Amino acid sequence: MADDKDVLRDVWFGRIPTCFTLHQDEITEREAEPFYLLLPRVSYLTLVTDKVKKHFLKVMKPEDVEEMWFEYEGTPLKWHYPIGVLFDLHASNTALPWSVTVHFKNFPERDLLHCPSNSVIEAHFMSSIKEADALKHKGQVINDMQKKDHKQLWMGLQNDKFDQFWAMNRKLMEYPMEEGGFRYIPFRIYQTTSDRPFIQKLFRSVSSEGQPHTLGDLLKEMFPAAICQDDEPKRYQVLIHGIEPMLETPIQWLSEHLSHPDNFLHVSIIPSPSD
Amino acid sequence: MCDYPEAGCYLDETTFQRCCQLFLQHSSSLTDGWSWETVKGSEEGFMKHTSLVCVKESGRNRTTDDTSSLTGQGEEDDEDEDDVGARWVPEDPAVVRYEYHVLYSCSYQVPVLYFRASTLDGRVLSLEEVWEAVHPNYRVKLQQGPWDILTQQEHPILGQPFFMLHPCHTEHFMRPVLEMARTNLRRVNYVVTWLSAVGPVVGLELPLSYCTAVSGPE
Repeated sequence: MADDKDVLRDVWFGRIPTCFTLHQDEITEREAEPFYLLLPRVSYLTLVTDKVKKHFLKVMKPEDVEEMWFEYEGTPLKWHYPIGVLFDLHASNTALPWSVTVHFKNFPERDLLHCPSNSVIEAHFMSSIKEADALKHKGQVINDMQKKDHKQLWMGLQNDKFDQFWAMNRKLMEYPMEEGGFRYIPFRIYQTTSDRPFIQKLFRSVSSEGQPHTLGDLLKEMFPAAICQDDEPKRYQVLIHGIEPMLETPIQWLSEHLSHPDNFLHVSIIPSPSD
Repeated sequence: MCDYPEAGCYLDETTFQRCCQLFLQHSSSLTDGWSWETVKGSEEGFMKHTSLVCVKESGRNRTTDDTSSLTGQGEEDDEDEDDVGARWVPEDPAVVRYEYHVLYSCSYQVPVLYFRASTLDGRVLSLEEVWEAVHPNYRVKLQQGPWDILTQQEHPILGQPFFMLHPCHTEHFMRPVLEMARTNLRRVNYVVTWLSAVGPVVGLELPLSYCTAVSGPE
């Protein structure tokens, strides 16, 4: 549908105004100006911050530079989470721009994966797509693709080319008419207050009676605290790409249109703002 | 009998846990250190094993050479010789602590091996250092497509960096074993068979008695 393609584009081109500041303990030869950048929600921090790195390297000596890493208010930012998920989870109810601190020392080994090159990001990205397709089609669609098709998905993301990416990704969003949806919905539910990084379980797009499952059905099963009764004040916000979809939204449609390029529906649950 | 769907040889989570329980019973009888880690507020869990491995660092040889050289130079002076000897006695070989976790992947419906390695003072080993410990028979294969097979990943329960042996090919190598077992009406413990196959890639060897003593769940 033409309207749905507008949704895909709005998701793809989502941007977050961000201010990168060098950590005060980093050793510089002169003052480091902050660097302002519009970050793409659907990409990864280490993939889109070459300019940030070059900017700060201009005021630093090579011997003071190790692997660059990012932090927001004391929380190391996991580069392998999509940028939009990091923002929604940690900073969505704070004033813009997003204030991200840049470090070149003391890499937090117990918190962050290393990211020595773009090949690692590509491997992570393709691994996520394969896992999503294992859930949707038992891996048959991604395995039937050729290597160059995988490469097109990656290059589309890396170069921010919507049409290039979706020419290939649409195959991963198809399903047999008679089944009414994917075998299972690839989703991850994040919340900062949990010991676990995310909730990920098997969830079907239609009920055993053939009714389409909704976002509300998913939350009822996975995180019922997020659904408030009519007389209760709202305790949580359920964010996908920075918006709160209606709980009545069909989960199959969300999976087709509000998934990230890695084909996962990343859902952030945060406390409702008090102000 | 484990009844596997015709479309593939998959493992459901209940059967995974029963296979692990049988595995752990045998581990307990051997006292070789496997344990079950529960997850708060959930029925999920995973098997865990820690081992200490002595590793000879490549840098050690250079240190030894330096020691010989310095000792040689100090030959004429007894006092210096003693001093040099005391300063350059090599330390014990480095000890690396390997922590293995066996988790269930609901996406692939197979077990997954996660592990991390660190020195006793807490320094985390890099992917390159871990590769050096990979069994030589597998190293060539890993070098060809390194990121596809062994990658650093977030542990899905702990949220910390771990290395993971990628599970997307597990079904392919388990299928012939399971089909043969079915043909011969034998029960297979999926976890034992799978771990016997993938563990050696990263230095995890199971005693042979696991294959004979641990049965598959009914």
